[in-house]
Amino acid sequence: MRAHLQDFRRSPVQAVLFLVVLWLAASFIYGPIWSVLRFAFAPEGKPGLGAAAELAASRRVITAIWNTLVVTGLSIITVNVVGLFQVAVLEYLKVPGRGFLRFAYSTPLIFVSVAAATGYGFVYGPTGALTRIIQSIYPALPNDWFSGTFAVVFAHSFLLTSFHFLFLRAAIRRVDYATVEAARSLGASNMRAFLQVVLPVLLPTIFATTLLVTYKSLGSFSIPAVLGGQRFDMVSELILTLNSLRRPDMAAMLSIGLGAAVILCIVAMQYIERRGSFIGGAKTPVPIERVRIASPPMRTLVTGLAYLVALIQLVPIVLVVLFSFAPARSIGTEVLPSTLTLKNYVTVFSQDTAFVPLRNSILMALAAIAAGILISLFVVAMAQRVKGAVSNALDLTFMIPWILPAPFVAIGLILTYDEPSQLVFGATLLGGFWILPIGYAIVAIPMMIRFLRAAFLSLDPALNEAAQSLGAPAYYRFFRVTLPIVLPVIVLVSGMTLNSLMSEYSMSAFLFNVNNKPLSIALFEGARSTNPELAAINMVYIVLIMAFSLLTITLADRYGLGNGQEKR
Amino acid sequence: MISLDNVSIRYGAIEVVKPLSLEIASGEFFTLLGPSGCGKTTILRAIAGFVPVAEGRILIADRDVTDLPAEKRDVGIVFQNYALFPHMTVRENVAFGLRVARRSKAQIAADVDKILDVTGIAAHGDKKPAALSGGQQQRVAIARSLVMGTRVLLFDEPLSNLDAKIRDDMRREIKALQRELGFTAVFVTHDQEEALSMSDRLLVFNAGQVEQIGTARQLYESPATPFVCQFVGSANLLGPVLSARLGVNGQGYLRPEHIRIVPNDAPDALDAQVEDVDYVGPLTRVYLRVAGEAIQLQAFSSAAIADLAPGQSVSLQIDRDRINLFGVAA
Repeated sequence: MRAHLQDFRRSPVQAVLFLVVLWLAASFIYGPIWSVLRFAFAPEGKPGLGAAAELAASRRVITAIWNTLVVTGLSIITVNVVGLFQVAVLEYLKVPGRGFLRFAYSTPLIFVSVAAATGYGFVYGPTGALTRIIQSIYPALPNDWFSGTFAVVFAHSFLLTSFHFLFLRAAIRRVDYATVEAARSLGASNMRAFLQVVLPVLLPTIFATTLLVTYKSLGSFSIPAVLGGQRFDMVSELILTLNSLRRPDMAAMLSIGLGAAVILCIVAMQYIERRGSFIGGAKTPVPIERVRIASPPMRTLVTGLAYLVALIQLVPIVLVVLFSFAPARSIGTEVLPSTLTLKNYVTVFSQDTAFVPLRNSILMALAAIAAGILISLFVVAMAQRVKGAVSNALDLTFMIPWILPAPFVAIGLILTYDEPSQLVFGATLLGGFWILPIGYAIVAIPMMIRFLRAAFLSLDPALNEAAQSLGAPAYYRFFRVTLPIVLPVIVLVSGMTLNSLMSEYSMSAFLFNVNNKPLSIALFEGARSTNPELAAINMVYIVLIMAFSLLTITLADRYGLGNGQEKR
Repeated sequence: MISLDNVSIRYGAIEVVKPLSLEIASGEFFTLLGPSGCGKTTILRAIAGFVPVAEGRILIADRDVTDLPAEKRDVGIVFQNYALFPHMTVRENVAFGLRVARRSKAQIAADVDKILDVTGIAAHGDKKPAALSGGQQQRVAIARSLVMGTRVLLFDEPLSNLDAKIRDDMRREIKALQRELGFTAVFVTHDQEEALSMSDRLLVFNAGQVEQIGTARQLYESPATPFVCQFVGSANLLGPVLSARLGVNGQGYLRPEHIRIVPNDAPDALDAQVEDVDYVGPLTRVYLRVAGEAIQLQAFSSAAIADLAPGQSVSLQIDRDRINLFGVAA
């Protein structure tokens, strides 16, 4: 604390900023958490577990929890099967058309959240193209064949493989092929070498990816909401329902339960991360070589499956893109559009009702990013400048939302700001425009802090000292040396945040209102409506979201994640 | 120019630099020499103003700078990795300090041109640091400090990142610049050859303490402590048998070049067995045993020496007056 006081004496501006950030932490992190705990454990001011008892007594709640656990359990298996198969096809086996397959398998990176759910609904749903094709052959197929646990697990299987695509592929590329050759020269077969040499090296990454899938599946919201059907609930959706049924105590308690499950996952993940993976050893690792499958029938089978998986992932995207250029009337009547037009795009950009959600999402995301970056910069820079308990506590505070599921934070904000609050000088935030961007910022800040902290840590302290010995005062060093060097990271993390906020559903579903209806909610409403005009607009929204994601990812790839400082 | 008056430095409860007093004259090339982690860089950083001193005063050009922040000390520093700003061109790097000082644009341009010329990097003004070689980067780092008119330049192991060949060139280049421009240089290194070849005077530092201050010859020829004797150059610690044979009472150290191989019938000769022979071009090192005690000699390579074979018996002669004697034997 003494170091902080010295720092503040040197710069009163820092002191003022510090107070502002403290206020933000109290109002938007601790306040909401406190509200959730208070409503869950002492709804009427008296401590009690009434909410928990009522949850336990409700069949609908028990079913939702059961659904969540079943979907998660099945997803862990199916996502791993699909993901491991994809990685093997791309990195370990020789399968023709690798470039095409890689493209197809990478689509979960840009086809996310409610946009993907809507896309799947468009293909497999009651009026979907595939449903119509199957019905023409097998008329007894019910319209809602694609719903419930099956639909959600199916969608998860092909949409949650992005972690495998990113992390497991990177891990298998780090395998030193010389170790495989060494095993072969010691008499091991190809298969045995894979099982005993390659797999153990990949295992920590597989565990970590599995936990990420578990984490995503437990909190899955938009996919069951869009694809599950009317009578199918998972926990996140039920929290929303409980909240709208005016049972904040039960909603709070259930979100604590979800939070606990998610935290457990993260703790396990960190444990695995800390145990470390088997990297290193070789000074000059030999890149892994892909193996040709010896048996022809096996080869045909693997190739066939590889293309089937690619097809499943590509078809919804291709149809969405095609139908975004189709007249509304052809949606639900044609399998492939017979005429193409730009009318839907014109509608989105010219009609207010269609354009407003897009504009809202962009504005709210930009506001959240600006606030988030400023707060993260302050927190990270302070932790660098003044080391100690106060800096660490502030850093950790803003990292808290990382381990809390969005419904928890959202319920907290609702319970704290549904009436005039002293924390925000007597304002009632719920129902206003700003509540949602605040929520966005809260969930975006942890990633910003992680990236910025890494950037600041990789910053050579000698640069700052060099500037100092040349006479530059603190503010000058920050703006002329530190900031320009971390700027690429700021741009990158902003782009990634903008990307995820454009289709953010979990927070939006709780906090949106007439003043700030975002794109994700418009998509969700369109997906549930039977109006083909809305469906057509949805296609355009999804294409825009995907195009935007593609742009950010390409840029991130081009400029290298976390590669902010130029190589010297 | 620089004086340290009883300066001690602590990290928490640990005293990393014990009270140290030192005078460095204007225009002097002064080197802090010591093994890694001995505290020599800490002293340098204290002079620069990055490390607070626990006690004592630091004066630069008769001005007490002990409590001044680094940016007000007017001391240039060349870092181990040069710390060039990667997002700025060479010119912008060099102009940085002048901009901070709010000099006029014309003035900045003129000053930068001049110093780039002096340091021989004028041709690279518009390049980013990443496009420069190690030697060029170092020149930019020096130019960046010198352009401020700084009279004191601190070097924190600036040559350790360079290849052996460039290192030699850069040594002489730094020395030439210093002689030409007359700034006071304080140089930190753990490389004794580098230290000996460049410095007017050196300070040998070990475990937070001064071992000796003096010229290169003083350190090499009359080391004040066993540490200096062994750290600067190499030395044989005479074992009990040899000490007794030579009549040495105490810890006797002998440099390898003060032992000679002589014909068998030479008076006073010691019998020795050759264990190994290292031929390193102009010099040859011979590892020997005298009455079971290891001893090393070094001589200009000649057929007589380079052709010695392990196991061979030879006779040695030792320059007794060259033995450095410390303390009294226990």
